[in-house]
Amino acid sequence: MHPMSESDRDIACITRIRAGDSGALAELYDRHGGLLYSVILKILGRAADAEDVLQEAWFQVWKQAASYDRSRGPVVAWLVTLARSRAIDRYRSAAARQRMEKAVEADPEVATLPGPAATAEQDQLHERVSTALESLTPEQRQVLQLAYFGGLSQSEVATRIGAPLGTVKSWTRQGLLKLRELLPQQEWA
Amino acid sequence: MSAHRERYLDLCAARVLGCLDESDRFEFEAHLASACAECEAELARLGEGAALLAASAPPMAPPSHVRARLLERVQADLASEGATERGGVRAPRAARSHSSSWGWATAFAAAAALAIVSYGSWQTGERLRHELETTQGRVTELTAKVENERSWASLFDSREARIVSLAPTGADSTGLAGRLVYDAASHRAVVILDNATARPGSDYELWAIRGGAPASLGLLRPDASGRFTVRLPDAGDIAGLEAFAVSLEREGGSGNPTAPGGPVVLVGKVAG
Repeated sequence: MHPMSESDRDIACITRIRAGDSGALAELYDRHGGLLYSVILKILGRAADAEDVLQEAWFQVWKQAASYDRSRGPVVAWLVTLARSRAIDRYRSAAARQRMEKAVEADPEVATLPGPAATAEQDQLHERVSTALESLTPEQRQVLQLAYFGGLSQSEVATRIGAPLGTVKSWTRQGLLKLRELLPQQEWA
Repeated sequence: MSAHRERYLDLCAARVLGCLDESDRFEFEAHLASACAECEAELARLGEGAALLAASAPPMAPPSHVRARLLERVQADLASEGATERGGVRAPRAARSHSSSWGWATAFAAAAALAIVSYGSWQTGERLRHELETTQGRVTELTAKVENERSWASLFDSREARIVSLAPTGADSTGLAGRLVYDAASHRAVVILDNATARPGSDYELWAIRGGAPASLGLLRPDASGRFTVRLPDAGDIAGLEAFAVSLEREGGSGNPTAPGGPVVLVGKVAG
């Protein structure tokens, strides 16, 4: 018998959550809570907001586990998408949008925030992804970060960096494909 | 058709990053509604890339109280769901247990109570029947809407579909641009204007140009959400069609169905 991969365990957790098993939610949280918190914190920049959004996101996982569709990707991708969407919604509704945009590019606030240490797995994954991002062109990296963490639409990204919209669209896709190619699924799922 | 395909694949990337422009959203969602296997596969592939991007955020662990509060909230949710389910079952059991071992007066009271319960049940049944009828009507209405949406979505997959870019003529400096998806088979079209804003006292008007002569196809007005995505059930025959154009008119349009009254702001040639 093969041991269950992390991806299989995630799917099993989703099935149990659908049946009302709160222990499965706790297990999934312990595995991916750090990643989701890091994304939310990077977008919002403030720990208090990030904690609030993190809890909302996980409660949504609890209530809407039935909406996870396996054919659309691994559980962790669904979790991250859900957490990011909630963070971007909060970010857009926040008055201090300008301050947050600075955080996207330089991480000044996040870098100085005190907080519990991440897990070793999270650190390793961060290292690998950061190294892979360095392999992208600076333009590809910039459009991905502005769109993903800054919550900008493609037109807004184009305006921000002064590039044609079509070029921004192309950089976005090429950047994502390159990232996926550099880090095949088994590296993280 | 290859450029068309590339365009959708680029939009897959924007969608997984959640950065689709509103002007692209309608067209792309309509395309996805047609169950394009290639785009579905691309979305899954790029979705993993997007999730990886998440790990580039500086790794942090959430404070332990977030987990504790989450689990408390989940327990409260479970408890409230459980109470609702139990409440529905317990009441009828209690009513039945009282009906057999009492004297006639008690039996009368029980019968009266049963009558009340029966009347209540009948009322509930009537209410549920009414709700069911209302819901069925709503389902029929929604089914018709979905069919209509599906029918419009199929326009983007039609072999006869053509995309006409509407380029600015320079008569307007607001960054207005647009495109028109035209199905030569059904004569239907969807017009999407980018950077268009509703201007008090003016309207955009769409024109079909044949043999150099314009013919009005009607006004282009924003939908409830403010987007200029306009569906035309009949944009006319492709035969002899040279171009589409958009003019900026006074409110209500040109007034002359064969000639714009205001400046022509967008023009798109129809490829032969």
